[in-house]
Formats: sequence, structure tokens, C-alpha cells
Amino acid sequence: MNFFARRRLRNTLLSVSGMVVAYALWRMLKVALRPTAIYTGFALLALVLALALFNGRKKLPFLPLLKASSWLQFHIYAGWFSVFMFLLHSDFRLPSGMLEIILAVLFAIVALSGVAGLFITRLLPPAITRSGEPLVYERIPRYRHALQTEVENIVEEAERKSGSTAMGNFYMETLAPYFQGSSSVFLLAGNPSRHAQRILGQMDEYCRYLDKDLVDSMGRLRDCVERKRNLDFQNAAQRLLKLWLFVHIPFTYSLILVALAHAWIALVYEGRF
Amino acid sequence: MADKFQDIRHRHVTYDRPNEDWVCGLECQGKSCYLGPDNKGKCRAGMVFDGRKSGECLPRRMGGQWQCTREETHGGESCNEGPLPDGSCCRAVPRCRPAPTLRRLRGRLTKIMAVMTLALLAVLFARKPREGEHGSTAINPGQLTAAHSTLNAECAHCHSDMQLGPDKLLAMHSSEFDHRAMADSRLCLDCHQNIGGPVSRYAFDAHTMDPKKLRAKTSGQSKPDSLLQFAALMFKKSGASAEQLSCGTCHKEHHGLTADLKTFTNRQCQICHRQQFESFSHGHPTFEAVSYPASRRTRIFFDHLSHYSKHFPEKVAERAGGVPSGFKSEAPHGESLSCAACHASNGSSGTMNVVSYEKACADCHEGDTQSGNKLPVIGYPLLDMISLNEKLAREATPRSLGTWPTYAPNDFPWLILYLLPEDARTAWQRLAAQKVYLHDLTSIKNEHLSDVERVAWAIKELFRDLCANSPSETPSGLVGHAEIVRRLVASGCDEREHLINGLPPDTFDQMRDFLGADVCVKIMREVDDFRASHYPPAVPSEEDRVRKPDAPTSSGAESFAPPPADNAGESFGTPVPTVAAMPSAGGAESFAPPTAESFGAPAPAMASAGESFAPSGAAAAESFAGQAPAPTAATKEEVPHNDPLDRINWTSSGGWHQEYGTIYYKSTGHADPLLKAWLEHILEDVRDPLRLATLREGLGFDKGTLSPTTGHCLKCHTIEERRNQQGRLVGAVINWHAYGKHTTPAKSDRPLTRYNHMSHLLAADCRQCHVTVTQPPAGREYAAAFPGEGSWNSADNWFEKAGLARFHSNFEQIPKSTCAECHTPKQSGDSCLQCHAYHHPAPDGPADMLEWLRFREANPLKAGSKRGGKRPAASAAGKTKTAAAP
Repeated sequence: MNFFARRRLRNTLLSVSGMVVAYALWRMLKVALRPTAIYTGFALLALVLALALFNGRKKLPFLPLLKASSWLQFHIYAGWFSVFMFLLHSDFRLPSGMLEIILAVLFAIVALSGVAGLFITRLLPPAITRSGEPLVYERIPRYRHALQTEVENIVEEAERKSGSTAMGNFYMETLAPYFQGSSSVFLLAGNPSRHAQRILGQMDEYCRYLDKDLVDSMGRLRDCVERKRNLDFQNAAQRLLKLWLFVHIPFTYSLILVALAHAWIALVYEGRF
Repeated sequence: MADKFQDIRHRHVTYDRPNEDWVCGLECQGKSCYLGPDNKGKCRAGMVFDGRKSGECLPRRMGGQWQCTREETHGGESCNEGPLPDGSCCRAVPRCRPAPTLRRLRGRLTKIMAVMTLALLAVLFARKPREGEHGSTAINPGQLTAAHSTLNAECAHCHSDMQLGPDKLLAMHSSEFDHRAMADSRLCLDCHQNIGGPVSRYAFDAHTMDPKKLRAKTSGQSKPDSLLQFAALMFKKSGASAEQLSCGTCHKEHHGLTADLKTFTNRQCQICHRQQFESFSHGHPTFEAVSYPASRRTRIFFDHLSHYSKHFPEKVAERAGGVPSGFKSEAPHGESLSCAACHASNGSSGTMNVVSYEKACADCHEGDTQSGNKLPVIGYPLLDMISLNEKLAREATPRSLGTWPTYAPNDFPWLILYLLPEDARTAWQRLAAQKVYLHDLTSIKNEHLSDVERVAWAIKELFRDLCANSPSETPSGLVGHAEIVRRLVASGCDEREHLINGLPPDTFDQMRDFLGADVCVKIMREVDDFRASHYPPAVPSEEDRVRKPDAPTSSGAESFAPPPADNAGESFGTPVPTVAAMPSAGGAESFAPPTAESFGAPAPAMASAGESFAPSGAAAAESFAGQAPAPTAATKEEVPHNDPLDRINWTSSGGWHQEYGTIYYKSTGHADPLLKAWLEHILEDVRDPLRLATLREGLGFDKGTLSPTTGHCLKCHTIEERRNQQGRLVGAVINWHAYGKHTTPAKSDRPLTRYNHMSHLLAADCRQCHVTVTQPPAGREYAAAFPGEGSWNSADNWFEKAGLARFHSNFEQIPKSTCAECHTPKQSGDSCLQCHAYHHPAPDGPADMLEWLRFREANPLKAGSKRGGKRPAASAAGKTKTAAAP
């Protein structure tokens, strides 16, 4: 069992144990006629605030506040725990008040986006590694431009050698849209290589009508298509790795604000501790 | 270009920071400048630093010359042209429009979302309710239950206006933070005003009961298990409100229309009731241990067994055990062979109620309630005048009592004592303590003489005031009923009007007529003289008269001569008639006229003059009194015995009547209001010797259930002791109904236990649970639990008389196993709340919905109130211990 498996097992056991203890306490408090909603509410609010601190921790890398990976582990398992605490807080019932519904929806969005982010951050990095050369996301536009320039140079060189515009025409009709275009995250839905394979298929068909020099150039273009495929996949995957946070983080702040309002109202109208 | 995009050599690639907010707009063309955008997203290409314009680099001055500083990642080495003379770069970089990074976009989105959320909250909180909406729907945490939603309640209906200030927030760790919950709970009592007893005193105590009483009920049953013990630690709170619970502790609102506010688990019961029950059949206390269902003596004395065997022997002889059948609704009334003959189910509460007297008992026992002895109320008691006058004649100031009618009733008119002044009652009590009786003063000691004289003169004063025609003739300025009421008030009677209920206005005239005008005038003059401190002259004794024949007879002004026939009510010096010679106090024989010898007049004439009967109704009395021709001795024989106006017939129906100068009252039948009023008044405080003596001797309670005076009330209606909060005996109550004073058919004696007979009758017969005890052991008969003859002698043995726990039911104890046969978790259920209620019902609360609606009509909800509106001071102060204590 490697380190990660051991860590996963340990943290899972810890969080499940915490849930069991929390549930037992909750049951006991209910038996004891204590205001469990107040207790679980405070616990849940504290958990959400603690989870939100992870974002702040990333903005303060210079502070010696444990490793980011430790924070992430806490964020993941405390997140699961907060979902369970939310169920306890709502007494396993669907809310019916307007503010409570808004709060529950926000919590669900944050929790589900967190779960989605967890799966994304666990599934995509290996795929990125398997896809080919790992790239820095911020440099991808530059590489795309460089690749496009390279392809154009190859095409120009082939035309110059052959004195034919066949290669140029093929480039304009088929290759230019592919190399000029940027990939979206929807590329990841289905087969990410489908576009590149279609281009390569067209190139293979076109090669039968080319002479030997142009076939060599076409071979170099095939390499460029393959690199573009990797570039597109890297772009789509790394964009998705960042885009899920566009849901998770903004809604987290909304959740905290609404939760604070909910807590204030609950204290004012319930006033029980 | 190589096959790989990235060149990891640091001289060939820039260091891209992922946390920057802006990137060069030419980055996508691979032409970003080395400066890059600034923090605000402005392009820094061509910026001037120290008067030098930047380009692909910002030349550096070394050794008096400007040197190119172009980075290797952007071409390296110096260009052919080199820096310009002013130190500027000769190779200008095109300006761009920097693009925001994803991080910046995410931050911007986060801020927008936060602002939108705040705006949404502001709109929600500031939104005014639309027409038809009540309160702020935004902060409503959920729909109310159906029962509460129909009230169209605003928040302020259930939530107090207690503000949550910083001081309260800082006190969150303490029990003071309960302020809101307790204040809110008091608002619940606006509608649920039947919770917690009178003025909701115990509304927030466990079981809404007096904690002291609750502790007494629950002591010695604790057997905690570890889990519950731990939970109980959480349950306990510190602070003043440790023993009080707010309504919201159990009743969780805002959980939807169909939410059950009464959900309560067995374990939640056991947080206090820590005896660990595995189930109802295992661990629950046996019914024998808690004396269920018969925990106390029945309020109505009814011996099922003797009733059947005595009155219906032939009906039950053929049945096993000689007992009747169970519940048969079709059983004919009167046969008493079915429980349904006397018990009917109360549909709402499920209790089996005893049907009314008129339905169940009157057919056979109505005559018994009218057969009691007549009760002398106002009259001259029997007084040993000879002995008294002899004693008074030997006093330093020789005197006599004056005129004293001799027609005294057999029984002392105890109720007259409540019409005497305080000092006279006190004097009588001293005499009673020394066992000095007015009818025998032969051995009276001199120190008791003044008390006897005081009592006697007080009685004469009473008669003088009652017989006065004009208010100006009495010291109080009142006559007749008004004078009686005044005297009753002076003696501390609260229900004084009820105590002379139906007294005919001409009763005193009849009494005066009987005594005769001469006697009355004498008495009035004597009383007037007495009030002027002039006593009647002393009466010479028989010895003196023998020695001095010319001495005035003992009559003198108070003539002792035999009365004329038409003036038969006066005593004129003849020896006091013996008790046996006086009219008897009960039955037809009590109306036998006294012999002519004893009254010095023909008996028939005296009888005709001495009786004047009036019904309980005043109008009837007016119409009758004085109209009946006084029958003579000759005519009396001619009066048919079944004449409705015959005195025997007349008095047999009960009511007020005058007889031989004494005003009597006789029970008019069941639930006689006057006798009830007197009994309740006397039993109110049995520590008073006068009341106790009245109870014992005046009302015949020393005869126990055989007391005839009150119409045999006690034959069925039992008496219970009444104690104060310190547990001391203060009085007693008569159980007029089968249910207690503070209970109704819907509120049984076991308010925390419920049992619905109707739902069980569908599956079982009465006899299945209620098994008759056919052969009770000696001393454990049903009647043995009730006071018998001689039990009412003093206030010291009330426990013997009114001890409710000493009870031997006609029915066997119901074993728990009978219930446990069906009440299992899988069959009929065995949760605590199936048989037990939490709230102790209040005695003065509305018993049903109709009563509640009347209450609500009289006390409408404060529908227009808003938060911050005026509330009772208790809730406004936020004190947790000020729960509307009286």
C-alpha cells in the first residue's frame, strides 16, 4: 500500500469516525431535548468557514501554515463531513423556508461542485500525462501560435519545392481551421482525439495524389497535427481544472453570507443555546 | 522547432506565474514583452523609466556607455543598432491590450456573486409582505403546521420582541440565553392557556406540574443506563432555568403543514424516566406497583357486588360468580345486568363515564333522597331555664333570663350559631369545650354562667331582630332576610345567599304568630332592656316560693302560667318538657302533636297553631301561609290523609317550614342546593370546632354514611380531605360527582395516563379486563374503605376517614400482561405516548373546543401586533423564572 492509499484510508476512517461520533452526539442531544439545530448549525458554519480558509491559505503561500496538500486533504474530508453535518442540521428533511431553500441550494451547489472538482482533479492529471508532453497552461496560446507558424512554413516550403499549390489548397481548406482554432472543455466530452483523427484521415487520403516530396512534407504535417491534438487536450483539460472553481469559490462566498444571515435570524428568533 | 513545445532551459523560457492577474495581449502570438502588464492590467510596453523609453529592453549604463540588456528569453545579446544615445531601447515593442487571467476572472465573478447575494438578502429582508401574506416570508424558515397556519399568524404572535443585543450574545454560554425561548413560550400560552394549571403557573415545568408533586410521583424509580445517563448530562442545564422547559424544546415548528409537533420517542421520555424499559412487556412497572387503574377510592360509594346481590339476586344467580354481564348496549335499563346501564363512553376522551343520577339511580332511589330528617335551622334551643334562673338569682346582681319559649326542637339548631355574634359563638365554643350543654345546667359552674347567659341572650336578640317589623327597631337597621344575610357575612359565610336559599319571607311571621303576640312583645322588651343593661328580675326558686307564698311567681313578667290554647308557643314556667315529650325530628311521627298536659292546651288546637308549612318556593309559601284554616281537634280527624295540603304530605316533599316556633329545612331531593351550600361551607374549614361540631352533631356525620339529616347525602357521596401546600389538613370536599372537583369526564384522575375504552370495546368486553371480586377477604370489602359510624368525631382522624389510598375495589387488579398481549411493537404498538400524555391538564382550562372558542372570542389574538409591540412585563424583562406566577 503506497503513501497515497494509506493517506486515503486514514483520512476516510477519520472522517467516517467523525461522522459516526457526530451522529451519535446528535442522536443523544435529540434524546436530551437539546436544540440540535443550533449546535449543528454552529458546527456547520464553523466547518464552512474553515473550508473557505483553504482558498485564503493558497493566497498566502509564504506563511508556514502546513503544506497545501495537507490543507487540501483537510478540505476534502472536512467537506464530506460538512455534507453529513448539513443533513444532521436539516434533520434529514427538505427545507421549506425561502431563505433556507436558497441556503440549501447554495450548499448543494458548493458541495456538488466540490465533489466534481475532486473527481476532476483526480481523473484529469493522469490523462494529461498520458496525452503527451505536459504543458504549462499559460503558455499554450504561445505554443499554438508557434505550431501554426511552423505548419505554415512547412506548407510554404512544400509549395516552393513542388511549384504546386496543391499543398497550399489543402492547408487552406482543411488544416488552417484546425490549427487556428482553440479547443473548449467540451472536447473532453467523448473522444478528445476525434478531430485530429478526422484530419489525419483526410491527410492519408490526400497523400495518394502527392509526389514523394510532398508526401514527406505531409509526414511533417502529420506530426504537427498530433502535437496540436495534445495541445488541444492539454488546453481543454487544464481549463476544466480551473473552471470548476468558477462555481465552487463564488458560490462559497454566497453560501457564507446567506449562512451568516440564517444564523443571525435563527439566533434572534430562536435564541436558545 | 523541436518536437516538444516546451524548452525547460531557463535561459530560453520565461517564468510564468500562475497567480498573476493579467497576461500580455501578444502572448498568444509569442510576442510578449519582458515587462508584461502591470497590476492594473495596463500595458507597460514603451514605458519611460528615468527619462528612457523601454523597448525590448531597458539599456543599462556601464562605464559611460549604454549597454543592451535584452533577456535571453527575448532574443538575448544586443541588437545591431544598440541603445540610443539617451539610453532608450532602439527596438520598440508594440503595445497590447493585456488580457485578464482566469484567476482574475474568477475573482471578479466572486465579487459579483457576493454583491448579488448581499443585494438579494437586502431585497428579501426589506420586502414588504404582499396582500394575503403575513409576516416576512423571506425569513420564514418553513411552513407552519396546519393547526397553526390557520391562525394567519404573524411572527410576533409566536416570537417575542426580545432583542438580541450584544449582552445577550455574550451570554450565549449561559442559561440566560434561553431568554428568547422562554419569552416565546409565554406567547404560546396566549392560546394554550390551559397548560400548566391556574394562570399557567407550571407551564414550563416538567409535565406542566408542580415540581414538588412531580418529584413525589417519580421518586425511587431510577435505574439509568450509561447511554441515557450521558444524554441526561447534556439535558441538564445550569442556571436558574434548569428545571424549566420552553415549548420549543419538544414542539418544533416550521417543518411543514403535516409535521407532527407531538413526536416524542421513548428514549426522550427516559431522559428523565431513566428506568430502562426494554419494552412495555419487559421492564415497564406492573400495574400493581402503580395501582393502576384504581389508585384511589371512588368518589361515589357504590358497591357493585352488594348492589347486584341485594337488588338483582335472581338476575345474577344464573351467571358465573353471580356477577352481571359485560358491556351490552341493548341491555334494558333497570336490570343493571350490563355495564352500559350505568357507564357510557365519552367519545372524545375515551373514558367510561358514570351516567347521571337521574338516568342511573333515580328510578329506585329518588325516595331515599327525600327521606332524611328535617334540619332545625332557626329556633329556641332546649334550655334548662330553672337551673339557669336559680344560678342567676344567686348572683351578685340577681337576675333572670326572662322569657324563653319551651318548644325547643329535639335537635340543637346548630345553624343558628352561625347567626350569632362573634362573642356569643366564642362563648358557645368555650361551653362546648367544657361539655356544658344548654339543656342540662343543673351542675353548671359559676365560671360558665356568663357564657350560657351570653349565648342565651344572643339567641333572644336574634329572634328579636328577626321578628322586628321595622328596620328602625333593630340595631343594624335590617330585618328579615337582610338581617340574616348580615349575620352570615359577619360569621364569615361566603355563599350567604345560597345558605338561606328559598327561605319564604313570611316564615318569621309564622314563627311570631305561633309564639303569640304577648310572648313576642315580652321578648322584645326584655331584649331592649338587656341592650340597655337592664336584666329581668330574678326568679324565686321553688323553695323561696314555698317559704314566701306571697312572693311573685317565677313567671312575673315572664309568666310561668300555663299558656292559653291560642298562645301555645310560650313557656310559662312549667318544667321544661322532656326531650321525649317534644316533637320528634323526623318522619311522620315527628308531627305528632304534644300532649295537652305538656303544653297546657288541647293538643289539636296547639298543633294547628304550631304548624305552618311552606314549600321551598316563596310564592307558594305566601299563598299558603295563613290561608289554611287552623284545624281544631274536632276537625283534624276529618282532614283526609291524602290531602295535598296535609302537613305530612307537605313536609314530605321537603323545603322550609315552621313548626312549633322553630324553622326547619328538609331535603327537597337529590342535589338539594341549600344543603349542598351548608355542607360545603361547613367542610371548608374543619379545624373550626364550631364547624366540626356542626358537622358531627348538627348534620349527623357521626353516623357516617347513615346520617339521615341531609337526606342521606353521604350514603353515596364521599368526603375527601383538603390539605394546604404544607400538607396540613384545612378542610374537606364532598364528592358531588363521580369525577373530582378539578377533573371532568375528559380529565381523569390520572391525567398523564390515557386509555380509550371505545377503541378497546370493539375488540373486547368489559369483563375481559374488569374481573369482579366475588369473594373479598374479610376486611377488604369495598365498603371497608369508607368511613363508617363514629368516624367523624374529631379532626384528628381524617386520614382514617378520607384516606383515599385505602381502597378495595370491586374488581380485580388488571394485570399488565392483559395489555401486553396486544401491545407489542409489531402489533398494537408499545410507545410511551400511546398510553401516557406529557402535559398535565389544567383544571381551569377550556375542556373542549367550544369552550376554547368562547375563550378566544373573549380574548382575541393581538392580530395587528408587530414585533416590538407591548408585551407583558414578564416577557419583556426576559426573566426565565417569571412565568406568570400569581
